[in-house]
Amino acid sequence: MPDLRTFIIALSLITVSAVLGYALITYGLAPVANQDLVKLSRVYLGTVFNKSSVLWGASPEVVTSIIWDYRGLDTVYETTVFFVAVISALTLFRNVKITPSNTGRGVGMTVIVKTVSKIVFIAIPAVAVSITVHGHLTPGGGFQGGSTFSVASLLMISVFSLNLVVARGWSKEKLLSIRTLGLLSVGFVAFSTPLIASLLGLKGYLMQNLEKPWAPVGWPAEVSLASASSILVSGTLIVLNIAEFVAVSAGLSLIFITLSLPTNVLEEGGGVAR
Amino acid sequence: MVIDPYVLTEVLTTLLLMGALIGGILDVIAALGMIRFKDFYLRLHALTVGVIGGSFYPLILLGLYSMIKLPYPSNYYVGGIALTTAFFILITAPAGSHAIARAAHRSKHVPKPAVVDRLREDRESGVMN
Repeated sequence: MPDLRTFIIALSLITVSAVLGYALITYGLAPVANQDLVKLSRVYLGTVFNKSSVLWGASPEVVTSIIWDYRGLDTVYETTVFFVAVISALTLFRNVKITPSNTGRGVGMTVIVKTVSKIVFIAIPAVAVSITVHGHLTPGGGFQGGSTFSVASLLMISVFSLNLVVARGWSKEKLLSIRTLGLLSVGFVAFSTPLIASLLGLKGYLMQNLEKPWAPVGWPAEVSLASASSILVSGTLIVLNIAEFVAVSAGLSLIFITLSLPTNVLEEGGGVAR
Repeated sequence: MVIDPYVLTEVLTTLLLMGALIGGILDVIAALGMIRFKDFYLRLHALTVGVIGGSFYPLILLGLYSMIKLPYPSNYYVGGIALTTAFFILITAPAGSHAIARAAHRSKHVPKPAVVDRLREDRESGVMN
C-alpha cells in the first residue's frame, strides 16, 4: 500500500516531466520577456558584436570576449586566485612523496569497467580540447575544458588505481611545472601588447586583444592558412583559452592525485601527529 | 501509388517523436521503481531501465528526428551529438551498474531472502578476490 509520501514524490516527478515536456514541445512555457531589446543588450550588440564598431570583440561568443577582453584583468586575477588555492592546498601536504611505492596496490576495478573506460578515455580529452579551442565560438573556454580534462584523470585514478597513474609519470613536479607554464603563458599574452607597443613608441594596453585606431598593436582576429578561407581565432582569446586549459587541467589533476593518496601517506607527509 | 515525400516525412517524424515520448514514460517508471523496489539490486534494475529506456532510445530517435527536420548545418551537428551521446550511454551504463553492484557486494550488502551466493563462497574459498 503506497503511503502519502511516495504518492507525493511520484506526483511531483510526473508534474516535472510533464512541464518539461510541454516546454520542449511549445518552445518555452510562456513569452520570456519583451521582444524589444533592453538598453544593456543594445549596447553590447552595438559594440562587441558589431564588426564595424571600434570596440569589436572579434568573437561570436560574447561571454568569452567580455571575460577575456573587456574585463580581462579580472579573469587574470581569478586565474591567479585559483593558482594560489592549488599552491596552498599542496602546502598542507608539502612533504608528501608521491611515488609508485607508496600509492597502494595497483589493482583497479574489474576488466569490464577497464575496457569501457579505455574507450571513454579517448573521448574525454577530445571533448575537453574541443571545448577549449571552440571557446571563442561556442559556450565553453579554458576553465571548462580543463575541468572536463580533470574528470579523465579522476576516472583514471578510480578505475586503473592511483599506482598506475603515478607509475605512468604523472609526478607532482611535472604537473606543477605544466600548471606554472599555463599561468606564465597567460602573463606573456597579457604583457605582449604593451611591451611591443612601447618598443615601437606607440600606445598599448595591458590585455589588449585587437588593434584599435589609437593603439595600433594587437593580435590578429583572423588567421589565413594555405586554403582560401581564413579562420576566426579572435586575437588573444584562443591563446588565453588554451593557456587556461593547460593550467586548470594540470592543477586539478594534481589536486585529485594528492587527495586520493592513502591516509597514512598523507599523515606522514603532512607532519600530522597521530 | 505515389507517396508524397512531405507526408512521408511528417509521418516519420511524428512516429519518432512518439517513440521519444515512450522514453519519457520509461523514465517515470524507472523513478517509481527506484522508490518502490525492495532492495538494492532490484533498484539497480530500475536504474538501468531509466538509463537505457529513458536516455538511449530517445536520444537515437531525437537524433534521427533532428537529422530529418532541422535546417542543413545544424541537423548533422545536433543529430551527430545525439547519436554519439547515445553510443557512450550504451557502453557506460552497463559498466557503471556493474561497478555499483560490485561495490555493493564487496561491502557485504546481501538482500534478505538470498539463498545462494556463489560469489561470496568463491571469495571466501580464495578462488577469486
